[in-house]
Amino acid sequence: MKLISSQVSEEDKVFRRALIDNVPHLRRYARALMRAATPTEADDLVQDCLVRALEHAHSYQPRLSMRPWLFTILHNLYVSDVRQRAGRTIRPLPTVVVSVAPVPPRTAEANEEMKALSAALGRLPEAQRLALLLVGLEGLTYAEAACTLGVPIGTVRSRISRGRETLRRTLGHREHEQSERDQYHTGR
Amino acid sequence: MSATNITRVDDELLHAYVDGEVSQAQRERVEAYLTEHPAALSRVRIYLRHEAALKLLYDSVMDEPIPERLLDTVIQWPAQMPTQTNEKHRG
Repeated sequence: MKLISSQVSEEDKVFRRALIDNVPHLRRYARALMRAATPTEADDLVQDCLVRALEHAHSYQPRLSMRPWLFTILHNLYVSDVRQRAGRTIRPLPTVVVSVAPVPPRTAEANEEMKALSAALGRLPEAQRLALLLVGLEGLTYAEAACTLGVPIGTVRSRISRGRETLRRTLGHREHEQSERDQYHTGR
Repeated sequence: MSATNITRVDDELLHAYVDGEVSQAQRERVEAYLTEHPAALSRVRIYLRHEAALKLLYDSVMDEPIPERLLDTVIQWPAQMPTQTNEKHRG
């Protein structure tokens, strides 16, 4: 493990360590956010986010959880980047991305389901997708997600509700199988 | 339906339940509702299933070592000491 220079103040060190602790979360979120991008492109976004966080370290309030603050930065960078690119060229719509990282062996059925889910997620309106990723994937509370996205909590609630319901309908053929399998759980 | 005595559970509350964003009283209300409404229960199961699949889809990133360049960005960032005047970084 590399060491942070001893010239750095104790407060600064704590900040940097917390930053590093959050890198895996930022990478996961960036990769989910930029489904169409390569892992390197997702890491570029994370790197930009880290630089921005270091530049604005003074505006971070240690009383608050760092993750929503970082997600806000990452999210803003992502949005401005997407807008910039949209202004320059029209990017072809992403095709289904298959994770490049080694994953534990799964059944073909589970793989199929995950691919379908990934594709359905990619077709959701951006606002709903972001809310679902922040809460569902990253485990932010509704309040933190609202803060990250700069919208009221009620908006997060409705985005989650609509996004998830759309996913369920999109993947509807599975719902039937699932509910049949679940019937014995429901009692009578 | 027999469950007219149970307060109606709207969609947003159902999702809040999935996300653990409910009070104890709300949780009990939703769970009472779910035992009486198999269709809603089935929906909740599907939401949870999708949630788990979403995590599985991206969780491998969490176990990867942090790329050097990201570590370096944080570690090599100049010290933020407004009082220091003779820093080596300044040219």
